[in-house]
Amino acid sequence: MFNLPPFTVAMILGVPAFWVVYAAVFLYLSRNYDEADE
Amino acid sequence: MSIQLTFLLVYFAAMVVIGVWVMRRSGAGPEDYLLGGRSLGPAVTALRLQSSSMSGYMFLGAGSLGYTQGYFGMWYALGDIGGGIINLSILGRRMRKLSQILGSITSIEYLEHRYPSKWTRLVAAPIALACILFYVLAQFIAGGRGLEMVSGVSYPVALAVAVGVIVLYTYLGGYLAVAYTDFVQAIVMLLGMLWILIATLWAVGGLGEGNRAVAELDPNLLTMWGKDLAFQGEWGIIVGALLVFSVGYMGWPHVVVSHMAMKRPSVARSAGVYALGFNILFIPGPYLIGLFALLLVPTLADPELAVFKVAETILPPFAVGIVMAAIMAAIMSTADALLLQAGTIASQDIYARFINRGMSDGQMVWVSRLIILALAVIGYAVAAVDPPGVAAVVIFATTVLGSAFVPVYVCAVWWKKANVPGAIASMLVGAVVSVGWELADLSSRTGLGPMLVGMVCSTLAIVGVSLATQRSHPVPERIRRAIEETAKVGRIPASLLAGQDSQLAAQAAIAGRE
Repeated sequence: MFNLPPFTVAMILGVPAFWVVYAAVFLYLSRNYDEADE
Repeated sequence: MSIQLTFLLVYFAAMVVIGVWVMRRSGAGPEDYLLGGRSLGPAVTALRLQSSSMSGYMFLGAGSLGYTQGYFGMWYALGDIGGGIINLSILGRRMRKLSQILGSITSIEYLEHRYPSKWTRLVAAPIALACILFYVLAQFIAGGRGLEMVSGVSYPVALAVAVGVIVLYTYLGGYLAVAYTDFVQAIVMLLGMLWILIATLWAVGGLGEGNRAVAELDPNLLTMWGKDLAFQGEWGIIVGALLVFSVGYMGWPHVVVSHMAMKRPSVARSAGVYALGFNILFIPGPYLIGLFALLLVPTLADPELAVFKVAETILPPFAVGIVMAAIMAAIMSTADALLLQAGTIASQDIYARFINRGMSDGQMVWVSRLIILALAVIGYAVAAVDPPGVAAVVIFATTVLGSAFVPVYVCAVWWKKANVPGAIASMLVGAVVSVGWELADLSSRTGLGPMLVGMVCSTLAIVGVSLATQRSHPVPERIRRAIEETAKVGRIPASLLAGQDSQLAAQAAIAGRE
């Protein structure tokens, strides 16, 4: 893909995908944060 | 006057207008000046967090890495993309709440309140101040070089103009002015970067075609291992590169202060999503532009000018002006945040704490402004006489900041056994190990980056020393209760705010409610 070696493709797509999953998990776990709002 | 310079001057004027407008809305007290009255919403929090941590490095250092090492530079970008969400998810809500309970309005004061000893501040403030000075120096150099290229005036004059504009609007309204100008600058940076990236990809025939052409020059540049495959299997270096701009910037005092300035704890959620979106769109850009500069401007004497030169080569003059404004935005948004933080540390955390404790709030703000001016003059002198490389200075300063401060900021809210000796040992070990590692050039000999080694050592120090000194230096009961309360998602009980600074608006509101 994109004329890049497979490992490069795996990293440049895989690591951002990890951050997106991390953000989704954070949003789920923090769904009650508005209880702390003043 | 060239069209590029006209755009740049319009941009400078717009930033000053925003600063004046915000100044008129700001209050006069220290909480207003230093934390914007804890009034920032998710978009400003997120983009201020990102733009103040990205700096001229993104346009000079990142482009240079792409130009010299190809896709290896992406390790830095891949870590950086997650930096905002990591910072906001781990520290955001908890640091906002604990700083409010403890009545802290600067990120170094917060450390002294959490680890209650004057030695905490005496160790933290000089380390932070020294690193921030290095960092701001790099921004001055980048600003001077950019302006020199656009305007054609000599480097010392361009440098003086860049430093003058930065100081002017840092003065105008303190944190709120800096936060709002950073917000606008983040948007300008993003648009400028996307514009030049799209034009670059267009010029090289698309991503796939560009990569194919780079492979003809040197196929190693398309691997994640660098030119000559120098970093193949060097996981110590690679993990360090991933850490420096992801986990690392949880230790940057001028960045984590954003958590303390959030309007509400729940701002951390939406700010995290905004930060991630901004990073995915913005961060890979300069590394790719630097890589494809090999095709567009193949004979560059200074690789740090790769992004500038590509813009000049492929964009029409008016677009170069806009892109240059974006570049200056990246530089100035970091420099003003750094200067404000340096002024705060020097005035509030050192002068007002140890030298003149009887200062009024108004005097403190003026002392901060005088110190900012003095720091700008010193920075100008060094940057004008013997300017070092921007990328090297930024990576060095951020590595030391991360190594010295990440464990103390993280443990402050997550581990109630972290005590004063542990915190002081951690900051000293982190700073000494990372500086020593860099000066002795141990990275090339051991295959381990200074960030990785520094953070491991400072983490071991805070854990080991805190556990060993629990009996002799127990964490005070009121701090333990504050940390237990911080772990809960909920409003702060008024009992925990008793005796705190009643001038803190958010606290006064809570105290009045109960």
